[in-house]
Amino acid sequence: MANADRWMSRLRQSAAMALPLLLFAGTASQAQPAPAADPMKNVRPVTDQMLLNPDAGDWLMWRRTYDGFGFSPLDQINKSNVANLRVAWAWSLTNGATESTPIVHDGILYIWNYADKVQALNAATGDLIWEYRRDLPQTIIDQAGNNMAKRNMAIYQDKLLIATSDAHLVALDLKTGKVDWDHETADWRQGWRYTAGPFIVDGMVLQGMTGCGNAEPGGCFITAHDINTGAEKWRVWTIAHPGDPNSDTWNGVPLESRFGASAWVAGSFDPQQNLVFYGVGQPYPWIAEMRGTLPAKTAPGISNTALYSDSTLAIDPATGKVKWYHQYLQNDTWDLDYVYERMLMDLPFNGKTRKMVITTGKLGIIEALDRTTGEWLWAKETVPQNVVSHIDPKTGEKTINQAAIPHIGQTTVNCPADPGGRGWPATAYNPKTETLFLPLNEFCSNTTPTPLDPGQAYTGGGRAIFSRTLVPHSDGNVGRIDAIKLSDRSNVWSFRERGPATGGVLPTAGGVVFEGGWDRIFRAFDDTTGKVLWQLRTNNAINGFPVAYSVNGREYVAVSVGNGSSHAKSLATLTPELTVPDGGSVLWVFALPDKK
Amino acid sequence: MALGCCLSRCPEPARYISLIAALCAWLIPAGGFAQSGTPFVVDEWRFGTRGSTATLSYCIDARDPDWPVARDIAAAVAAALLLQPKEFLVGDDPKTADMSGEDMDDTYRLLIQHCDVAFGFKLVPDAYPAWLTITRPYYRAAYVYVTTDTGWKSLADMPVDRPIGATIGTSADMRLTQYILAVPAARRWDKYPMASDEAALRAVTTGGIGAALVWAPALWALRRKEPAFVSLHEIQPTPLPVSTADVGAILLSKQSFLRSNIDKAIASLTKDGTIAGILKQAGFPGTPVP
Repeated sequence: MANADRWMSRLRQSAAMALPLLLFAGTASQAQPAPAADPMKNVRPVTDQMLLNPDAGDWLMWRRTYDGFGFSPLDQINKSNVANLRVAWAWSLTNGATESTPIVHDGILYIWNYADKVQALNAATGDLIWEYRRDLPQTIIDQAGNNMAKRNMAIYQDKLLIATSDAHLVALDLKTGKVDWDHETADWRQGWRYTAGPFIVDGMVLQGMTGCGNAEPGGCFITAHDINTGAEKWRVWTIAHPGDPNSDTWNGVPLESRFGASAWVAGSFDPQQNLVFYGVGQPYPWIAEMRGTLPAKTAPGISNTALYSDSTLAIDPATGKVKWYHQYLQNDTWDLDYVYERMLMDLPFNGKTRKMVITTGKLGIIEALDRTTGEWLWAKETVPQNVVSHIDPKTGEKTINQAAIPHIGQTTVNCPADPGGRGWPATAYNPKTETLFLPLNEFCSNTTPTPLDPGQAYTGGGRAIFSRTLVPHSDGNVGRIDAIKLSDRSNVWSFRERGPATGGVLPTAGGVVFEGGWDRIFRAFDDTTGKVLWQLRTNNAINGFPVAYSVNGREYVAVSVGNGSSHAKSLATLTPELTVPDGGSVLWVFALPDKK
Repeated sequence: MALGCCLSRCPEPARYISLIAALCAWLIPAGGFAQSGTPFVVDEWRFGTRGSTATLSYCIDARDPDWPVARDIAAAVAAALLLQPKEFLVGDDPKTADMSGEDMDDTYRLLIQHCDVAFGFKLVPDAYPAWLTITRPYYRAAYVYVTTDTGWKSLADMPVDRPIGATIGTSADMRLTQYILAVPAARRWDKYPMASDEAALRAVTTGGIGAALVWAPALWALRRKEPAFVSLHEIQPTPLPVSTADVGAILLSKQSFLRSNIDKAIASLTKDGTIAGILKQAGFPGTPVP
């Protein structure tokens, strides 16, 4: 893209004009703060070793580490001093859905702005270093909505890797923002899109695709790309294709009538096994009777589980071969994805330490698998739900509450509603205390399958009216942060609030957990008691992923805020008295007072 | 132009007042700031009120199969209201023809940015959000089953081992689904969800399905551009009843005065035969709705 070039050109022109003025200004200019040394000077290429074992002060990928914990080892900000936290700097972002996770490396903070603008900022001062703006097709801009938000970016070698709203993967030069390469993965005109970003494994760029409800046969996919060119190296289809041993799991529906199974969240990586773990979303349309997977066929060899929707895929990154899979929810008919972050940890189970992959789906059920085999190990429920009436304690097989299944011509009740008891705002895990922190919401849906605007190409999951309500006998609280000790699955604490929980959580080695929500309040909890130690009301809904980093020995906590995310807007219908501004996306950065 | 005739027969001051009132109705913030419950639009302040003169701004969606007919009817409505027609054609780039949204947010943007009224929406009960209102219908059309087998007169003639490809999410698709759910497994056809009417027609021509269930206006439009579809044979839906849908136009709910006038215009154009004439001239498979 020529944007970075144009920006640099403008900068040079500005500098050329400004130079004589600065010389003329003489001593007056000396009263201004001395320009900072080139912050890019010390930026090192990011190596595989750095990704495997990142510096404590860096945040190099979506959940910071390959195990998906979203945990910061920094402890300068801790329980005893977090009450003194102050705004260090703030930076306005492009208005719109703001679900970003900053990348921080060697004192530079990289941030995604709505509508495909990426900026490199001095992480200590908030000064702009470079900016990349993508020339998006006008149609995409006109459609606006959630699709121009991105939850994460990736960094490797001298490149910042981004997934664009027109379904390209782009490598930007870390130091200049210039485009290194630009690869079109799919045709956005057919509805393909990216809402998550890349994931670097073994020197390759891995990326999941979403928007797979349109006329393209075969649903979504995860691709791997050459780090130097973007060329595609392999592709894993998230819907079983003919020839796949699980192809007959779609109730006899042919490939061209199978939709969905988006891979809209980045993965995790187990370097010991050399295995990548990706989650897969629900089949489309959401209502099973509409997509032809109900009523179930009785023909031999045919099932209606709709693989590989709502599954974990364990993928060999060298070949793209799926080593194993596990499906959490068969024939999903509620839009209850199991697509979110996969956490890799070794924990005791039945007297043995097991290598686990743990995830929590929209049902709010935490589930653990053996990550070497895919064997199901255990589950723990959190929010009220009525979809699963029983979980087999040996196999994990779920018995579905038949009364919660939507049917054409009827209104049924399902809890949670389609945005999920947990949505894409990520859970996080403190390995020191073996505690998982979850942003949760309690609500239900009166679900009525309904024809909507028929006649045009099918592109989405909807085709039902989801009238969201509070759970029966609710006390009015919707949002909730739970702390659960995973080694024994005990509840440590639960914080409940009226405002929906719409941001990710951030536990740190300082014993605090940061969280924010629709009510604009960014909080720090004591990670062992759930006591609120500090809070600040920001300007807008907290809808991004908080991160912690350090520069020159000073720890910072950063979180982006902004209105427009469809997830948050859906939850907000439950709390109409909590309003947030239309505009005002901002990156907030906090630190303890500078003693100097 | 019945309503136009009515207006022209009005005493001059009354006619003048009617017109002013009508204009005022859509000068009032068509593009005002977000109300509670309306979709979120980034920087909605950019879309101010349209400096309306004596015009009716309407959207026609080129992705809709009936858009040439909708265009003529919209122009007739404008004329009936004694207003200059101002058309905004949506989706005329064929490369974006498949980019319909999964909710009505796109429509909201359209209505605050480009037009007072958007033509070509089916009257589906409970399918529209509270911030939208829909006019009375200007035509009614059917969903039809088509096949390559000329020996079948109705769906009942089709063996149960031949699948039906139905465009996802139509009211006819849902009625078919309910029928399939109601009969014993041995008497069920398989139903394949199809992404579009065109995909369903293509599948029936290639033999992947026995019959396609499509919107008759879509069949009408696709036959004009795809010779392979011309020879497709329409069959009766028996044992199911004929499924129809009424088509009208949508406005923001707050445009109640304009909606009332458009309703009157459609009623007049229906009564005086204008709409029937437009449909007949196009050879369109629809009928006015009395």
